[in-house]
Amino acid sequence: MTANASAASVSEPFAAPKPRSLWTDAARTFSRNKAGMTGLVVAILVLLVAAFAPLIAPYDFADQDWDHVREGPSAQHLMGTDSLGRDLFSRVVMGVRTAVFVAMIVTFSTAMIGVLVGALGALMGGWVDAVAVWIMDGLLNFPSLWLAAFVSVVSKPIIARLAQNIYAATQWSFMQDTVVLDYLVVFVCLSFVWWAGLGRLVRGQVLSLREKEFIEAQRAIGAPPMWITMRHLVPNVLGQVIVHMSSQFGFAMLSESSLSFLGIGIRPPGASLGAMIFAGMANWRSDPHLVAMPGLTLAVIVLAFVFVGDALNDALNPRIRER
Amino acid sequence: MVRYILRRVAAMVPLLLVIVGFVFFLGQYGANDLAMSMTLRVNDGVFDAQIYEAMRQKLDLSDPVAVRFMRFIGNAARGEFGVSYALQGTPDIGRMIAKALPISMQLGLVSMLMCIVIGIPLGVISAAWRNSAADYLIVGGATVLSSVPAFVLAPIALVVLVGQLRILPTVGTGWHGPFAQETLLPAACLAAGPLLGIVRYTRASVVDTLAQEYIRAARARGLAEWQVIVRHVIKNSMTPVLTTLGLATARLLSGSIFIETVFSIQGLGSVAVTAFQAGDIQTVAATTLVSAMIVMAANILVDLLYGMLDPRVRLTA
Amino acid sequence: MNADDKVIQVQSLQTRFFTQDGAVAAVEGLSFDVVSGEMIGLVGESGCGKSTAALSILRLLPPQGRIVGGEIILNGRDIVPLSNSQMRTVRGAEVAMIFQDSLAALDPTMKVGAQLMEPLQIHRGMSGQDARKVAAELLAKVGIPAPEERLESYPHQFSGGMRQRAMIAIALSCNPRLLIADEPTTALDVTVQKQILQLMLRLRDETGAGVVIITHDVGVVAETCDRVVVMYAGREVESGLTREVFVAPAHPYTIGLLGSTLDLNRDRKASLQAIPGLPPTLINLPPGCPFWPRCARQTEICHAQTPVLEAVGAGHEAACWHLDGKV
Repeated sequence: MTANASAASVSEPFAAPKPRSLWTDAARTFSRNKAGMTGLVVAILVLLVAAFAPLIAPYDFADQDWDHVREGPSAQHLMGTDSLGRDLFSRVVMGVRTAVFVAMIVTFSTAMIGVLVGALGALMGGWVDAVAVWIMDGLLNFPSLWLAAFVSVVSKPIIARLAQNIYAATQWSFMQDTVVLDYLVVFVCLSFVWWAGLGRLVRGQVLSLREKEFIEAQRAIGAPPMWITMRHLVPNVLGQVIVHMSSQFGFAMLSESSLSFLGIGIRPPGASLGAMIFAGMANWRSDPHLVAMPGLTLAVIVLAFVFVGDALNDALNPRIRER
Repeated sequence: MVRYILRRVAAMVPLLLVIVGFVFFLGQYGANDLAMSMTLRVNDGVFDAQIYEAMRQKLDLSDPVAVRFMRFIGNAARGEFGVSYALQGTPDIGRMIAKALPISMQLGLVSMLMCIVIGIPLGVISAAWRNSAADYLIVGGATVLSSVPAFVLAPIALVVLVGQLRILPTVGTGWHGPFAQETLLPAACLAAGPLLGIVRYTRASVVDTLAQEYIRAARARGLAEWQVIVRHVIKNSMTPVLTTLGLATARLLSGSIFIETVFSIQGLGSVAVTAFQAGDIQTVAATTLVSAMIVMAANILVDLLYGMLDPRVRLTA
Repeated sequence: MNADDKVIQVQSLQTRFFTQDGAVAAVEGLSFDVVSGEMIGLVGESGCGKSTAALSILRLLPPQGRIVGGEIILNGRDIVPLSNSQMRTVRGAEVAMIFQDSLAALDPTMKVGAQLMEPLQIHRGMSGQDARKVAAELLAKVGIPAPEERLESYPHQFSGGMRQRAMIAIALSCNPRLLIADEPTTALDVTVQKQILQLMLRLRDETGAGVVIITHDVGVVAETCDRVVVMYAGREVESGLTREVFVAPAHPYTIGLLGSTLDLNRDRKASLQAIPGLPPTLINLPPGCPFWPRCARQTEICHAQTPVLEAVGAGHEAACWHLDGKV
């Protein structure tokens, strides 16, 4: 140490520790969060299950075996069977796939709409911003599920008619598939309802960043506005967006299950954890596994995404570090 | 103070219009199809232009949009939402809601009370002892409880608490009033949802407050930690918590849809569910509007409480 | 001033912060005394450890901070080993702190009067009524007009200068023997600064308390302090009677500090002499004098061995291997 000190230049022995980039710092913080890492592992597992569902499920989920009706978990049927003799495990796996699929599309579309509207409003100001704020605040004053159900009920006939017209024009058979229609309805209503939260967040971020001194400083050295946006606004906002999206994923899955539970989401023959839970409720006393299996699966998955979201929040939006 | 209240309420008017507008226009989309489906139903599946027109008349669809909007607002203000064509006996929607609403409100208030009484102290404790085992336990427990969806929690609670452990009596169906034993489980299941948010926001707010200079100054005057918390921390931490309470209202309303269904409570949620499943757009629109009004009212209340808690807001807002 | 009545003796105080990146030696071997009626200035740049020293005395360090060595003898007893609950009787009663930012240091949702009454009720067990009377008297004593009405105001309704006076009143409420003022004038306008300083001098005379003024503004020290302690990187580098240290500074840092101040009488054409370089980060400081990278006198010995305090005059000491340019 002494040898280094005398050989080094004037300022070196007293230099601050080397700064780390935002992302490596975030990754390090995230990896230290045990709950977040566990959640991440589960989340990846879930995504894999969803992707390879047909390969994982031992039985076809619609297969009815009248010899094994309403059985508890066993070696043959990992989670038991339902009242029609269908293997619960296979059904749960397919249900997970549905939930993940919906969640991915909805999270993506809400992020796009939210970021677009929020950023546009904040950057353009004036009446564009005023209208954007009105719409977002208005949407946020509804209990989300209620509004989603409303939109779902309203849009179903519209989408059905639209599908009819498309089918008439193109003869694409999947336009006749009720499950596809169900999916479309769910995408529309969930996206409609959930984008406002992110929109407001993004707008707030962009607004405050716009006023911050370092943007002024950038303008003062003559940097063009687009460059300002990309180099400075985007990374700052990105952190919040990513955190929001990860927790949104879990909520989207919950929402899909909720709608299906009520019978207005993905309906049979589509597979949905929510619908399974509803079906199982009639016999909750005698066959609790019919409710518990899909229910706990759903809970665990949502929990995993919540943990990941929390850990991401800690990593990307650090607050005053305390021991 | 009165001026502050009036100012807040006035600011809400445009928001109100937007909300009513949403419901109205969404409803309009549905109404056309309702007319269509009613036409088909009445005419054995064959579309007849005359009957369609008549149906549209019946649903007041032939007037220009602005007129219909005004009429909608006027009617809604008086609690008249028309009649439900999907249910047997075409009951008056307004009356259905009027009967169901008080029940939902009572259930909601009990749940909200549970959230506040349990959530806020837990948040303060976990902030005061942050990064301790208690902190992790409280936050972790609340996270788990909140992530389990209401319609999963309720049956599981039923199975475990009533069926296996027999802690609670057999839950009778229906509503027995806010103080009945049977209300405990549904209210608790309902409260589980917003609980995490309240605990977390309280904790974050208290942690923020504790980092403030005036807390250190208070300690420098010789106050004990508990005195610091009671006299200085709580009042200053409550503002973000109030915001959460506003959000919690929305979450409670959404949750009530399921809880009321599972426990067979005839509240607004139950009415809505029946309407959802029947595709009854009028009722759905009406209940959605009412629920949005409730959320808005809660937000106004939160704003008013802000003014009471923080004198700076009163003078500047 | 009573030279025999030592209010506080800080001896070889060592305070460290234990962070993720390592241990920060915020205060390293600081020693000074304050006698009753004396005003001492603790001077240095931001981050030199002066505020940490003050917080150490009050034992109000943040969670990562800990006193790892030394003694603080307040009114005859060492307060370092005291538990938190024992310190509660000390804080506000035996030693009181005046904070830098009066707006941040007062609870915004509580009336000023209520905050003023707190130490009275806690330490002197006064009832609400009695406390109000004394509180009003205190406000009058620090020069706030219409004190009874002012008790009912909120902090943000005061002007900066009045708020600082209120803070002083709170600090004085239980007649502490030691007052610590952390940058008492930094947040104020120049004209108000002078008023506050004069107020503090007057109160010092009236109460006979010992006062420690923490500041980076040497002008404040020159005006008010009997003695001065110059700190750098957590250590004392020079101390002594104010007029001696300022007229004949011994440590290169002190020389630089005084040389970089504005002086109305200075030759206008001469440029300000800034001290080159930046203050060091205090994580894992290497051995040797912490100032050597910025020092014109530095040699080999400065890199290897930390200089010790040597006397350079009566009651005047400095820590440098090259005092007076000597090797």
